[in-house]
Amino acid sequence: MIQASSIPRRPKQLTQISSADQKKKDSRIQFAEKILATYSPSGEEAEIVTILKSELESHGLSPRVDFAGNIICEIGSGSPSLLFCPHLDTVPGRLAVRKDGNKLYGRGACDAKGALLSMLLAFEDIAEQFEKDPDRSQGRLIFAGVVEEEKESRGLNQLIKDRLRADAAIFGEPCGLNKVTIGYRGHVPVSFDIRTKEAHASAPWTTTNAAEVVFSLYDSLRKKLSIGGNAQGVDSVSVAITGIRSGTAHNVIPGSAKMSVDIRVPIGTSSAKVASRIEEIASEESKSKHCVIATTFAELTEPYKARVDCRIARAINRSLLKRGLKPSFVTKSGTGDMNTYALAFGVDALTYGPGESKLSHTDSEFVDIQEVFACSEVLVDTQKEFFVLRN
Amino acid sequence: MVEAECLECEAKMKINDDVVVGEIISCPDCGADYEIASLNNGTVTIKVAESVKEDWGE
Repeated sequence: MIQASSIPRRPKQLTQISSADQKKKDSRIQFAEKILATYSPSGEEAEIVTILKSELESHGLSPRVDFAGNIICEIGSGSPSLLFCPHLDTVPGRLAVRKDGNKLYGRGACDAKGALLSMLLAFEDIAEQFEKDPDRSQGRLIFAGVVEEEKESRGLNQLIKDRLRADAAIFGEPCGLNKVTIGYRGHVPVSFDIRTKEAHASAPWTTTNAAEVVFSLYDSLRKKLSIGGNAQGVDSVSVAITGIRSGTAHNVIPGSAKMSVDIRVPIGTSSAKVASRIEEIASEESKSKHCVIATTFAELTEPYKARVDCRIARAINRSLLKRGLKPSFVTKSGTGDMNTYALAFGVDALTYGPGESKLSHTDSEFVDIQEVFACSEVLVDTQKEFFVLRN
Repeated sequence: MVEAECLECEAKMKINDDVVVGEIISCPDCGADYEIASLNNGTVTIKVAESVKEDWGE
């Protein structure tokens, strides 16, 4: 029978913080500034890895660095297992690091050093609790800070190659304190190489203009890949040109053109099927325009959405409720590492972390340090809930 | 374990004993999401859960 249970909520009144707690918070703020000041664009994560390794070792933990340069640390043993997976890299471009009240500004503050800090601090606090617990076989928690998420996800691919499988995973990206990302669209990055015959620009009727094929092909892709007339949004297939190259001289009809296109695929659709359809569309275009079109795909990512009632979603939901927050489960139009991990191992995955994702990759990104701490506390409780909840 | 009926497809949804108010459950048949609105002596009330979709993302 269901009891009219409720998770005890923390009193809303602020309790006086002890001097030891204040000292810990101050030292964590200093550490956060250090992490932010350590420039770590994709491919240059070695320095931040050294700092994180030394930080974890100072807590008596035994981190390791894998072949790709990811930093990994594990505590506990047995089942279930949970992975905290933030990324260490940022997009390139140095920004001045500054603190304005609780706001910390700097490259990667929002995407995603805030989430990295929340996960690291939560991991350290959980490790401290594990240390006091005589039964450490109640479950395993893994922290894996990965490299090159902003590029080709080399770090995550290494985890998969090394079979670092957990029963569930939480990836670190800006979402906001009460928001949890449960779904992302799939990704089909594709490029087209169009070949026709060059001609004199004074007689354009003598050939097919390769540059013009770019536009007709783009138009066909948009029309033929659309779902239910949806032109925009999370539920649509979006087709975005990300590059066009063509032309040799002002008086030559181009005989070649290249176009790169970023295609995102909604939940319920298959990226592989969309890729097949793209090949068909390119072939139809090639026949109707009497030209050669070579189609090349980069790595496909399938769309993914976790069930809102899966064990890890329940755990984070209960953790947020405990803090008096109204949880919000979000599906985003982008694509995340969680798609790849969850589908590779057939496990549940979510994405969570402090910050406003609209500030990602901008020169005005910041994160609120109090939100970093609050997200960290949510993660500590999430781990506890996850370990005790039934499947 | 108690059951609730899906408001969309009328399928029976089994609800764990340890569920709390505010948790979200999904219909195993049609996938509709519901929030636990209240729990009282084995009686559960559900309401349609808010679905948030952001045209933004990583």
